[in-house]
Amino acid sequence: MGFASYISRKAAQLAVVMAIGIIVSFFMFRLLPGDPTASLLDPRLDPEAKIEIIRRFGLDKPLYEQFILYITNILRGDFGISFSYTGMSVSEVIFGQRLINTLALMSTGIALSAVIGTLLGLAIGWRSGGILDRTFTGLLYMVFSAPVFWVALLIQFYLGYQAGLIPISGTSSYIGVDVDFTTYLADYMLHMVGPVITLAFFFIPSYYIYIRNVVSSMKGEDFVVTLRAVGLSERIILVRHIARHVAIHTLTITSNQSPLLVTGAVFTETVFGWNGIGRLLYDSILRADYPVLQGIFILTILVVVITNIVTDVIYYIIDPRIKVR
Amino acid sequence: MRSSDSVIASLRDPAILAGLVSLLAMIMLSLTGLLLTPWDPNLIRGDPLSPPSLAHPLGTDDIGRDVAAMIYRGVLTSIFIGVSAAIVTTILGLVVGIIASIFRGFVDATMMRIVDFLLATPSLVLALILIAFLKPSIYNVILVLAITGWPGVARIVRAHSLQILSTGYVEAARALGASSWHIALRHLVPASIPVTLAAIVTTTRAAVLLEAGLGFLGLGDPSTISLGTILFYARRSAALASGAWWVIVPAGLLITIIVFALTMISIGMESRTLKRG
Repeated sequence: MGFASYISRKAAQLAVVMAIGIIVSFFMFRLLPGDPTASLLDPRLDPEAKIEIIRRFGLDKPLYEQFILYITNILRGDFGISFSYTGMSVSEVIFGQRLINTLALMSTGIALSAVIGTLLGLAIGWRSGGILDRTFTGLLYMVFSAPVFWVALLIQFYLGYQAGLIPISGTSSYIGVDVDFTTYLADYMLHMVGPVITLAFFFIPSYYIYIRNVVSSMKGEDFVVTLRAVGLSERIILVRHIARHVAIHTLTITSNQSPLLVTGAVFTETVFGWNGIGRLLYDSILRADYPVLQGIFILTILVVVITNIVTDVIYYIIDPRIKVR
Repeated sequence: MRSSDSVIASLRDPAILAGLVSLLAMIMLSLTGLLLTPWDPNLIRGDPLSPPSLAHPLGTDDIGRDVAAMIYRGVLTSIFIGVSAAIVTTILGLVVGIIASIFRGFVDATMMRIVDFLLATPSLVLALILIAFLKPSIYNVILVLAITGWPGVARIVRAHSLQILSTGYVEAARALGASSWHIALRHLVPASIPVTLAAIVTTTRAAVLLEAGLGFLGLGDPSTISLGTILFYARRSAALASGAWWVIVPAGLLITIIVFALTMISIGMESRTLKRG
């Protein structure tokens, strides 16, 4: 079976997942208590907006007509209008500054953790079994067990409130103020320090534990013994041979995390007041902004599906052995 | 007989033993603490934000509640919700997994696509959206944890059941005229127990973390004190700005210890199944 047919079969599978997501989302947001019809009673909405919602969602029509309208709206990229951000469409609320903030934060956090976690896993996995390995691995399992919101609180408390090293909250100190780009960027990055350290605590253990186990079990494999017998130094075996095998595992972990690129880190963003999608998700729950919640939900599933396909293509390029599965 | 042997053997595994002992120790300490603080934990017992002292071993929070009294109840709530959610989740996963493996065909395909979908969706996003619709109560939190957790268990149980269904003794039972129900109850369920036990531990771990997270966001049961809600109140109050570390450090540390103990148990169980082959 060739690559094209493999990918198309995979794509068909994922299309089913996407379809289920869209159907589940329709029923979840209509049949559960607190559906859009109920929120029409929301006093925050003015009468015109109510009529607009009824028209857009077809709420005065039978369920199957609503469903058809819902699908056509989604295919047109129309996710309705936000309840809490008056006058804004869901797309305007999600796509824009918030998505950029989340992408910036998450890509920095994940990339940094992937590099540090993989290098630590390589270095310590290669010496596994010793006292250093036991202490360090035990420690990282402990970090792995710490809830991320608590880590965020501790960093905010000790580095922000106590030491005054990082801004306590927010994305920028210059909202509504005109400053030049470098000043803005420096300030933005300073605001990112706390959340990025939190994300590093969250992501590094998963990379480390996985890579350490891979490297530690690879140590005794035949090809390593052969390379040693040929007279290659430990360093060359580790860098040229082991590291290449490890790269694909790093990719696997990264692709598993990648939906978070868009859904954001709900806890980290909430604690540090980072104006991204994760915090938007939380705020929308508190405000019962169902259209925004539905938009985030569908976007999440879309991202999961796309990353799945992209990962498969990258796998195929990196490791041509994966031809048929 | 065989299963009780393996339980005793498990206790010889240092990781499993250490994890179980620390969990039990935490439960015992919290129960003792409960007896020592027999008042309503929401009562104001001292000055706001007073540091740890003999009268208040973990100080007081911003309205003067005794933090230790809240922590004792928090530990018990977190473990209780975690374990109950894990049991509900595992039973649900077990039933779906076994049904899918027996009926194959359309039933199996439909169930597995739903599983695919739920596994692909980040569980926190799903849990948050579900909780947005439901009234926050202990039962709804358990329900949400179960909805996000069962697909993982179902997939493992299904794979395991399919393996057992292809063995000779199940075929023999079929040949003797055993019904699907009989095979499910007499062969698949007992054979799935080791897989199920492992699933209970990992789902408890996930449930404790997720429950703490919901509590931290203020989406847990407002009438119950859990370790997550202690941190929710701490963040909303002036505790952070006034340097009251005792309001945030102990609660989070205890969640970490509970989760770490469960991680140890699950690592121990995993390495035992690997050794067995």
